[in-house]
Amino acid sequence: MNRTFNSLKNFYHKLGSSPWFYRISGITIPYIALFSFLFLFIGIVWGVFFSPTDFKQGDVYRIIYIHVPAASVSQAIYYTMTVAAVVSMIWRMKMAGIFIKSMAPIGASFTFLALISGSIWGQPTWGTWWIWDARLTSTLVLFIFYIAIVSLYSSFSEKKSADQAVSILTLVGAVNLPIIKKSVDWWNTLHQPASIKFTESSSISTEMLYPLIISIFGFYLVVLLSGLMAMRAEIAKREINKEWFKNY
Amino acid sequence: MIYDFNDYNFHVWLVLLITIALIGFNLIIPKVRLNKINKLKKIEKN
Repeated sequence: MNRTFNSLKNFYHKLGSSPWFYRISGITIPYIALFSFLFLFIGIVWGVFFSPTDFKQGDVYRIIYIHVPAASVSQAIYYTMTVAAVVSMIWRMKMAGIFIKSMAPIGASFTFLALISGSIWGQPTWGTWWIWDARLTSTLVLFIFYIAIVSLYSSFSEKKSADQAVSILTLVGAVNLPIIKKSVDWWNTLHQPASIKFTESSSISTEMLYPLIISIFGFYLVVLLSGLMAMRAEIAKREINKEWFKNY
Repeated sequence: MIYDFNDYNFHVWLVLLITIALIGFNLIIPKVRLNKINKLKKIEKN
């Protein structure tokens, strides 16, 4: 137990070192790229081309293989950014600021994908592109927070002040996360409740569920890949004059 | 049932295209940024 705690503590301390992170991410990126494309390809091709047609919605339901993973990662990215914001506020860890700065545009793009794919799916099934429904509105608020974080960061010339400011804004935006999750339970929404449940049986057929799980996993790997690449670019930008980077 | 490739479904294809574009952007932009910095580093070294 003590050994596990110590190794976790060591790993946490190493995460704070930009040269260590730059080196390790450089080694792992090709493997993550391989697995992310493999899972994404299998999940989407299986889901879009080989899973059964829905008896009510027909083929348009296949948007689920992109919409659900995109919505899932868009919230997960914000959760990790909230943890990084706490670390940045308490320990002033430089890497936490780099993480928030790098992940915000990725989070914004996946939230945009969740919104646009939901809108394209809503048109033939609900008869409208958009409705001010609690789930849709709270997800739009999440997107606005991502954009606000990106904008706030670029308005600062000094990196340390920018890191502190975006950390505060990230923590403010975290209030929206449980609202997104519970919106379908708290309010009477047009958006359906969750189809995949961990505590009880899922309301989706297993033939449709398996490719969806693979696709979700693929999206998480792609987020990890793009996050690592964005962080490497940010480290390089900030540390271009440091001796370790010049000799790398 | 297998999805009929010829049965063109505008909504599914549009979402697929947007997904590929967004994932592509997320991967290409940091790669280009890092390449630019590495080029600058090489010029400074020389």
